[in-house]
Amino acid sequence: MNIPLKVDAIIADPNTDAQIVILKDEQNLDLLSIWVGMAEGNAIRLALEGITSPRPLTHDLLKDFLHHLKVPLEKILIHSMNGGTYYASLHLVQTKIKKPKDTDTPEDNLPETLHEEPEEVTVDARPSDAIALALRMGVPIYATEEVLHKKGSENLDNWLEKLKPTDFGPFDA
Amino acid sequence: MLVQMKVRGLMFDPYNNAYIIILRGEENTNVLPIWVGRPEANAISLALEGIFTPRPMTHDLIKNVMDSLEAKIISVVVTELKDNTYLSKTHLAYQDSEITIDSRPSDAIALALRADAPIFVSEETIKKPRAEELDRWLENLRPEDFGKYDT
Repeated sequence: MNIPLKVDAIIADPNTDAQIVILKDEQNLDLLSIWVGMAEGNAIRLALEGITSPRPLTHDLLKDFLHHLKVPLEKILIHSMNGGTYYASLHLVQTKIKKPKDTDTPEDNLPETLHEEPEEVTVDARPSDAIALALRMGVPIYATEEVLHKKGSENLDNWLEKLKPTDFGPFDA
Repeated sequence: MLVQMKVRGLMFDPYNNAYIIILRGEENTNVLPIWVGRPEANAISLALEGIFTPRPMTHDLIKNVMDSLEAKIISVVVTELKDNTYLSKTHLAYQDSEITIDSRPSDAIALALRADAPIFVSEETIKKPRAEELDRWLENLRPEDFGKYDT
């Protein structure tokens, strides 16, 4: 099952050059934090704050491309996580023009351009690019249930492994 | 008239903390420096060096989207210099029609390198008088400054 998420915040990681995107589900029960690069983080921040740049930035350009090609973006999906890396996909809806040779149908009065049934085209993407694009195009962000739940235990395991005795502090009687 | 140019170098400009793409014509007579930001310079450098990243970077994503939709990046044209900003257009072929999209030269060049599309510059952009300082800077450029992209 896919769960819709909202971008809750974007935070600069004080230890590295990276930024952290915080996604939450509608009930604020589940939380997904994804580390992204500086450039991608900035692209997400600009979209969150509704700032438009005088010249199209890279994600604005992709949006413009899709707009001009008349290919709508239906949604983005964060579908898996492997070795600490999240994987996402763009779900586009493409309507192809029917090639003339395909039109050996009986009807004579065919309209000039025939369109095939719209079909879904998915493209592999980093979550940062997918989110930056989704925010600009106002389309929903989904994560699979598997990703949301896997993250919980893996993050926790990492965190537990890195715990030092001193982290227990004054409670260690 | 349009002049075809190639990316001949990518340099760091320490005074402005920015990067400069050096475009040069086939006959090596015209040089056009374009200042770009760090992420865009990075995207261009990855393409110049032919480095594949494990995950698609943003310009790779645009290229992948175009490939999946069977759209082709035909060419990139730096059209004019306006208020110290270079403007350019990316030309796409899609479903028997040609589409022209306004884009920054940095993005357009990063895409052109990935799609093996030619880069053109309008003659008036090259001829446009630039600040004397820049001309002096360009005159003092040594071949070594262009790095290893100058073939």
